[in-house]
Amino acid sequence: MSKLGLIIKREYLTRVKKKSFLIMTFLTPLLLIGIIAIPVIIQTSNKGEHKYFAIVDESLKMKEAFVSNEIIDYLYFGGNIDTAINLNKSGNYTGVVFIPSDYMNDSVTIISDNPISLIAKSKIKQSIDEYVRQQNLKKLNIDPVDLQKAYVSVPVKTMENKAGRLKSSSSEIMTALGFIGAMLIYMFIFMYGVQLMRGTMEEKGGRIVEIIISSAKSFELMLGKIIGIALVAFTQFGIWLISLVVLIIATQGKLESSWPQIAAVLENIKNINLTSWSILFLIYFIGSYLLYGSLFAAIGAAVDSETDTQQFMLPITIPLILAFVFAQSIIQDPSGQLAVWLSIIPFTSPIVMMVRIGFSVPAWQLILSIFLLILTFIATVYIAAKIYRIGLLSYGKKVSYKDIWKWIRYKG
Amino acid sequence: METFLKIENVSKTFERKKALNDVSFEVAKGEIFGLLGPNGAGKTTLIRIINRIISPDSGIVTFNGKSLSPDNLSEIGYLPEERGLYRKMKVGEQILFFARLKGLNSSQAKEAADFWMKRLKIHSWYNDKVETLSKGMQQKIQFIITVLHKPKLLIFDEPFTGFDPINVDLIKNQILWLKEQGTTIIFSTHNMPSVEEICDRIVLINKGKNILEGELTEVKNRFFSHIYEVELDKDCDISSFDSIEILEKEENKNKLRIKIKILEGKKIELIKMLAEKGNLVSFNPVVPKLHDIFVETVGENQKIEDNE
Repeated sequence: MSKLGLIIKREYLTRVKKKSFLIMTFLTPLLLIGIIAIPVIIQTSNKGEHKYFAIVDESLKMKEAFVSNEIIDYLYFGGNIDTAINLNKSGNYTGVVFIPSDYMNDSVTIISDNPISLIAKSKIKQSIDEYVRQQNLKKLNIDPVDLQKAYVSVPVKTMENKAGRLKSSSSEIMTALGFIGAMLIYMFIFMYGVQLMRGTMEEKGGRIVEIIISSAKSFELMLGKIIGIALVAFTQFGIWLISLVVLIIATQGKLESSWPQIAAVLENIKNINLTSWSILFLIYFIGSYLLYGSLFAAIGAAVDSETDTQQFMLPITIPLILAFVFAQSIIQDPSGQLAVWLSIIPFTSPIVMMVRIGFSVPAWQLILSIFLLILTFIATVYIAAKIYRIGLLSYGKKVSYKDIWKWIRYKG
Repeated sequence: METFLKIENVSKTFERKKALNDVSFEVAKGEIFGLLGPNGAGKTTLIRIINRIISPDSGIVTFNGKSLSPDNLSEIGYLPEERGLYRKMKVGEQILFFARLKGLNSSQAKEAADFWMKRLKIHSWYNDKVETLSKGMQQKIQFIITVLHKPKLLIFDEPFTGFDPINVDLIKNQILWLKEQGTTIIFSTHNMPSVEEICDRIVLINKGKNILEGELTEVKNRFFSHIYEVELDKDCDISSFDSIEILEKEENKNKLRIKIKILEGKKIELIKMLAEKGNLVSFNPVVPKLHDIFVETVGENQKIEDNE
């Protein structure tokens, strides 16, 4: 086995054999599901503490608008603003709702000691709006049932024109897939980039490096680390993919009966061509990993301690974070100027292009973007190798950008 | 003397600092060669050049008759002064990894690991993680990693630090054993007694320059300043000698012990004269210690540099 092969093998095996790898592999999907599911669960189950609101109605028209429910109890009073203030002072109520006689112009006021929750506010507003709407309908002599009939939903579907043949497309799913791809790239660059950095720091700080580079070239060490860790990432992908497929097959019958929506989405995914998505995902994943990974490795080689990494991490992470932030708005306008440029600039292209590929991207943009990405990662790997070679043997000095610039230009 | 490693006019400059300035010397095949010098003299730079970790600005390194090439790396074993191991890796795995990096195949590596772990009596640690071992234990593993692939040239940079006296002897004996096997050894240290004990020849480097070189005994003779330790009967009168300078005088019950420097005349004449005066018990030359040679030479070199 070549030296590079040995280094790759060591990097791969020591990581995959760790317990934390196994734990992260199974925990990450759970965590992701958790991030999506927990807010939904909280919203649907937790209605908060029971609240008591006093209604002080100057107009004396609104009594029927307020019906106590499981969240809020209403107590109805007649009176003016002073009544409302006094009731609030009594301290018996979460808040006091004051309805002036000319509520359409003077606006309803909710008085409370502490800010009241948005849910409570919207509940109260809903009750008032609904009541006033009903009253208006009565005045206009419209039957609410007739009005309901007037609301319709006309189905709209999208078709893609593939060389004259119409094919059903599912832009929602493509968007979702693109976003998942972008998110995975973002997450993995951070997770594995930092591992690269830490691994290099371990070798430098643990003074292992001098023994290694008296046996192998520093470039072999760096490349071996980058490839070894990439293989760890692919192993993780593989495990997730296989478990997903197994899960889908295992639950197929049950899914359709209990979760028809999910079953329908899966049915749609089956219909779209995942090959091109997968290929592009791999290209952008590998490209961005090499680009950012080599830089992370270079940082690890340059610094002596974790605290020194901060100043160098920042400029590397900014484009990544920006790309991810912009990704949200790019979904709204996937062919806009911002989207096009960010998907061509190599430092942001992997994430932004993943978001865009759900929509049709002109071939020239795709080719240019990939071409630039390849050029850039070759450049960063080259630069990183130079920093790596010298940085690994420089101890005891706080490294500045000036030093690194010197190392890059250093010949021989 | 059959030359194994030849350093010719090697220079290396880092930014503004001249780490090596036209250094030349030769290391003979099968000898233990002491590479000495104060801190910052350029020893580590030189060792890194031999290991091809860095390349010299100018000069030639010849390894076993040919210009040093990447292929030679598998024939060199290097124990750096700054050393460490992968803490989370098991001892056995780690030894095999480094052995294979040095070009051994899997079965050769296993065989050699077995041989050395038994030799240093650490075979029971094979499956222990490095982080569970003491510093001295880790140093033993480090030593094995250095010598495992049967290198033709071994470079030890302060190999005894971190060892207790028992293990120092153990490692010293391994180094001598390796020499018996025909390995050429470069030994860099600040521990002068150990140099005197095991080195055949030495070079002393200061500020990137070779300032002293030669066979250990020859170097010592060069610095011999005709000082002798003499033991005589107590009542012996030596005040009339003017060819000697008395450096130290010590009397006890019936013996007189003096340290003298011969200013003129031959040793043998002095012995005769002393014997005539009374009972001469012993007469021994005071061989200079390498420690003193080191301090004196570096000190003088410093003066010359300051004057320039």
